[in-house]
Amino acid sequence: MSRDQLHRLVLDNGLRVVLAPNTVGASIGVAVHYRVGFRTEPEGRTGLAHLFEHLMFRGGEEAEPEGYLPRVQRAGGFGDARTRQDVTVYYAAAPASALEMLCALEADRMRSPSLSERNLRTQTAVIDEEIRLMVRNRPYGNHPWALPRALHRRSENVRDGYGETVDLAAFDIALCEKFFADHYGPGNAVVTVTGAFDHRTAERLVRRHFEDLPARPTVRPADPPEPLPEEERRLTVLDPHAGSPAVAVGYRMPDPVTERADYLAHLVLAALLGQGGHALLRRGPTAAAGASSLSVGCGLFGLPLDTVGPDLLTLFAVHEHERDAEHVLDALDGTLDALAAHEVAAAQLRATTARWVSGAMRELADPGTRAQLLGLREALFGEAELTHALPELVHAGVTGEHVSRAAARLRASHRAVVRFVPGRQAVPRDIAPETTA
Amino acid sequence: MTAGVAKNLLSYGSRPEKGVVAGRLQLPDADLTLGNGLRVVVCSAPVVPLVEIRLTVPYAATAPGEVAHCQLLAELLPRGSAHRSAGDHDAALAAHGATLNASADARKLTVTGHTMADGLPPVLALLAEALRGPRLTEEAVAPERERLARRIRLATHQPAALAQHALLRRRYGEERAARWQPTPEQAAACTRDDLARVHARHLGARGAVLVLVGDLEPEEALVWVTELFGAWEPGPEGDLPEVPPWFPGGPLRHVDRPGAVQSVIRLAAPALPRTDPGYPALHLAQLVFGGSFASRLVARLREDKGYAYQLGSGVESVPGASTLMVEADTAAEHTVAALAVIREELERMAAEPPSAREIDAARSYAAGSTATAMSAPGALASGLANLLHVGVGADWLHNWGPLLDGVSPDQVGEAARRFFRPADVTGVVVADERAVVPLCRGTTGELSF
Repeated sequence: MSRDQLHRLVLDNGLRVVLAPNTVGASIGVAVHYRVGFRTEPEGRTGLAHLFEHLMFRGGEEAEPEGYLPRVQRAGGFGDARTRQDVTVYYAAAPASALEMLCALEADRMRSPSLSERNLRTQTAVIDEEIRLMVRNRPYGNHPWALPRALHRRSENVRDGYGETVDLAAFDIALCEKFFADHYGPGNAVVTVTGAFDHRTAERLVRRHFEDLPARPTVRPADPPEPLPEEERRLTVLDPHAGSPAVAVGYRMPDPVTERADYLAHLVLAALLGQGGHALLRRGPTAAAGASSLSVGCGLFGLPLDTVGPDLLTLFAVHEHERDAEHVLDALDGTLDALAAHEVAAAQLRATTARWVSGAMRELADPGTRAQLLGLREALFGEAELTHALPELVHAGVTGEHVSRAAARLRASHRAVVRFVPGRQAVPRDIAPETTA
Repeated sequence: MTAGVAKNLLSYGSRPEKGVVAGRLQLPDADLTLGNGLRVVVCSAPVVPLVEIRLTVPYAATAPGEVAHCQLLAELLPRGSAHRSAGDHDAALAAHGATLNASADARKLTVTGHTMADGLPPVLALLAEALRGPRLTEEAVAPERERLARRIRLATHQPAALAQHALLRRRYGEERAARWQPTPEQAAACTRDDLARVHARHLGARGAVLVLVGDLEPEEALVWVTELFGAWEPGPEGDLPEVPPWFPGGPLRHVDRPGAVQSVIRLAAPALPRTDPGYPALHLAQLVFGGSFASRLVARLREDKGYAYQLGSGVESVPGASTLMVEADTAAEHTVAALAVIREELERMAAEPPSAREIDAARSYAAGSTATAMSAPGALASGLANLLHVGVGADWLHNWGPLLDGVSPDQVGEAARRFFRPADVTGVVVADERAVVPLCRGTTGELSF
C-alpha cells in the first residue's frame, strides 16, 4: 500500500541507512536505532540503557549550549526517544527543510554526546519522577512489567527497564562513557529517513555527516534463549492505588523469525479475542463478564515484532469483584478451546483482519512513526520491508486454520497470571519474592 | 520510557500537501453547510489509503445529570441503530476496516473514526443511520450503562483525572462543575427515555461539523455526505455550548491522596479565546513560558532541578473561552519547591519579558511544528475539528504562520504581563497531606501559592 521506495546503504564505518522517500507531504521523519536496550544492557547495570537515553537526549557537544530538542523545535520539529528491550531509538519529525540539520544533530551525538556529572544527576532525578509517574503513583502501574517477571526466568528478561534503585544510584560518567563506547558505535546503529525528500539528496547528506565517524567494535552480550515455562506461573501484586482488582495474563509468543507464520496468526488471534467492540471476549456467550475494561495485544508495549527476545501476547482486564478474575480466565480458556476446535467464521476473520490492517496502515501515515517502525524492523531483523508488508501478510496470509492452531498452542502452553489486588501493605514496586528469582 | 518531551496541551496543526509553500498549509478543498445546518469540511491527503472521520455535534448539557446521559448516548452510537443490531453494525463497519468511536462532554458529542478509502460511502451511511436512530433497546442500553458507571468510578482512582475534576470545581464552582461532570450514579440511573430525550434535544444537524481527511475525491465525498446526511433533522435552535465564565485567582485547593509518592499540580488562569485577535501573542508568550522544551519552566524545573518528568503549559480552548494551564507532576518531597519555581517563573514573565530570541524560537516552533504534527491525516482531522468547534475558520491553519509573523515583541510582552500574574492563578494539588504541610492555610484545604 505504501508509496515508500526503500533504499539501503551501508557506510564503511558499518552504519546502516534506510531511506524511504514518499512524495506525499512536506515533512520528514528521522529515526536512529541503536541495537542496545534494557534487555541487553550490561549485567548489574540495570537502568543504564534508559539513563543513557536521557543523557543522549541532551545532544552532542556541537549542540551545546541549548541542546538537541530546542534546536529541533526551533526548526519547527519535535523529537523524543524510547528505550525498548533490544533497541534505543531517537526520533524526530520536522519540515523537509530540516533534513540536513537533523542529520547533523544525530551525527553529532553519535560522535560525542555531551555527558556531564551535572546532567547525570539531574536526569537520575528526572527518571525518579518518571518511575513515580509511570509506575509507583498510578493504579496498575506494575503492568506490564509484572508479566515478564512472572513468566520468564533469565534476569535480562525480567527487568522492568527503569532499573533497580541500587544500580541507578551507582552510575557515574566513566560508566556512561564505557557504555557509549561499547554500544553506540555506527556499526551498531540504523539511521532511517522517511517523508518528503529525494533519496539521492538524502544519501549525500547522510554521507556528509555520518561517513567520517570512526568505526569501532560493538560489544554484543550473549543472548541465551529463555526456556519455555513449565507450569502456569501466578503472582499477586498488592496495589495501593487500584480502586478495582485487575488481572493480567501473558503467554509466550512464537519466535518472530523462525515461526513467522505462527507469530502473525497470534496477531490476528489477539485481535479476535479483544480488539474492537465486538471481539469474542466482549460479546456473546463467551464474553468475559465482570470485566469493566479489557485489552488484548501482542508485544509487551502493544507493538508486535519489537524484540528478538521472548515476546508476549497479553491480556489485561479490570474487574469488579475479586472472584471475577477466575471468570475472565474461564472465558479466555473457553474461547481459546472453541477457536482451537472450530475455525472462526470466515466473515469474522475477514472483518478482524481488515480492521487490523487499517489500524496498521494508519500508523504509517505519520513520517515520524514510519521512520521508527521501519528502522525498528531493520535493526532487529534486517527487514525494514516487514513494516510495509505486515498489513498484507496479515490480510492475505493468516487463515482460520492458522488461528485455530495459534489458539491450541496458547491453550497448551504455560502462561503467567498476575492479579492486582487493591491493598496498601506493599511498596508499590515490590513484587512477591518468588518471582524475582 | 520516553524522554518525556514537555507536554503540549494544544491540539492543532497543519498538513503536508502537494503545493504547500514553506509550511503554509493548504486550505481545505471544501467547506460548505448543508440545508439542515451540517457543516462539511473536506481535505484530500492521500498519504495512506484511508479516510479519517470526525463529527462534532455541539450543545449545552444543562439539566442535572444530562452530561451522563449524553455520555451514555455516545457509548451507544457506535453500537448499532434502530434497524441494525450491535453485531451487524460492527460487522458492517469492520468489513471496511472501519472503526467509529464516540465520546461526549457537556459541550459536544464527538465521533472519531477511520475507514479504508473505498469503504467511505457505506461507513458514512452507517454513521448517519446510527446518528438519526441510535439503538436504544434495553438489551443494548443495559450493558453500556453499567460499563459507563464503572468507567466513571475507575477514573476517580487516576490522579490526573482526580486533579482535572477538582480543577473544574475550583474554577467554576460546585454547581457548574456538577452540571459538566458526570457521576457514576447518574450514569447508572439513566433510562431509555432519558436517552431518547437527549437524542431529540441535542443531536441535530444544526451547528454540527463533519470533517473528512484522507485519500478521497472532495467532490465525490461531498455528494455522498449530502445524500446521506441531508435528511438529518436540524434539531432545536439555539442549543449552543455554554461559555464558561471568567474565574478569579486564589489559593490552591489541596486534594488529599494518602500515600501518593508524587503530587499532581494543575494550575489555571483565564486567557483569551482562540478567536481573539490577541491570541497569537498569548500563544507565543505561553510557548516561552512552558509550552516547549526550550521554555523557561521546562528548562528550570526539569533540566535544571530534575523536579519533573512531565510538565509544561498550554492553552485549553472551548467555545468562547480559553484557559492557560500549567501542569507538573513532582515527587512529594519536591512539591513545595516546585510550586515556588512555577511562581517565580510566572513573576519573571512580567519582570523579564520574552526576549527577541525567545520569541523567534517560539514563532518558528509554533508554525513549523503545527505543519509537522498535522502531516498525518488523523492529526489534521482532529485539529480541524477542534479548531472549528472553538469557532475559528477553516483557514486558521492556513493563516497560522502569517498570523504569528504579524505579532510584535511588544504584543508578546504585553501578553506576558497580562496573563501570567500569579494573583490571577488558581489550581489544585493532588498530594499526600505531608507533601503540602508548609503551604496549608489552617484546615481549610486551601494552599498558599
